[in-house]
Amino acid sequence: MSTHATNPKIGYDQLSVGQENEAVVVENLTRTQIVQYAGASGDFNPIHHDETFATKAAGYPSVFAHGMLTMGLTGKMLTDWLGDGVLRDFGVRFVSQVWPGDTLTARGTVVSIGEPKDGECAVEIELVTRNQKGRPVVTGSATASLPARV
Amino acid sequence: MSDGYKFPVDRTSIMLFASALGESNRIYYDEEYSAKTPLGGVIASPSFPIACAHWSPTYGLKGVRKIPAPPESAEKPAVAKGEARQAGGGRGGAGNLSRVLHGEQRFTWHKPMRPGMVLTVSGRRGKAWEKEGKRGGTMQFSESITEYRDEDGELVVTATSVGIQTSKAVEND
Repeated sequence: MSTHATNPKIGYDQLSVGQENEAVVVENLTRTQIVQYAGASGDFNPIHHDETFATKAAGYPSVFAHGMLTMGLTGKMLTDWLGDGVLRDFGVRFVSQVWPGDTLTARGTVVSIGEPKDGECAVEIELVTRNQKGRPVVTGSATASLPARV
Repeated sequence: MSDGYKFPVDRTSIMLFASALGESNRIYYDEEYSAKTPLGGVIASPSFPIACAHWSPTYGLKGVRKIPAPPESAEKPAVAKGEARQAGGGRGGAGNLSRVLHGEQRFTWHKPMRPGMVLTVSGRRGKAWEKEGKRGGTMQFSESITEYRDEDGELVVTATSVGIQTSKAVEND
């Protein structure tokens, strides 16, 4: 198998255990964005766009965002920080719902940096994305393969 | 569970998916820019593989869309049976739409996903378990594993998803 091409934005030697990166990944989430995500992803569960269905039939206070939208937004923090195509693994748990009007801040913390192998190190990141109340909506982890300083 | 359907990856779909995330990263749409990077071209954003749902013949959350048509042998939609069904992308599918939540999602990439690839997507069921939750009542968890392979049969992405069927609306603060 050919080498996995990447476009890193940072080197593993520019990171240290405990280092954090934080980014506001969405401000005042709109229903429009949720609908746009439904179209792009193909997930048309009405609970994400039909207010009557979400409130009257399902018993929620309003429509809410797809978990995968929050995962995608969290991923934006990772790729803006580390680079394109560098992720080897990215997993999340959806711990709380995300509502229209929410502002989300994603934070990654370096938890380990592996030994260099073929010039690259596996950097493990712990993830948490919180809403404007400080409540975690997504927790998870990611592994990126990064070369030395670029 | 759907298996072995084709998922043609194209630049427009990659661009639309990135747009919905509010992305401005040119690697997801700009050929000229991307060609000059070590990646040599546009790639899909990390969670884009989930958009294979557009091509899954048995995906349960398609809205009015009839394309692609379900296979002749496909059972009636799982909604009728009130059964949680795993979707093409590995997301908990139809079932009772108001009681289905996405619990967990993981992607493992083996190589970049690029426009022009025609991937074969196949899924299998993983573990299933039940839990009494404070916020969602009795919750049934089911895991599904989806593999995306390229034309050479090589793995591009593996996706693992946990769907949750709740017995009531999840309580919020």
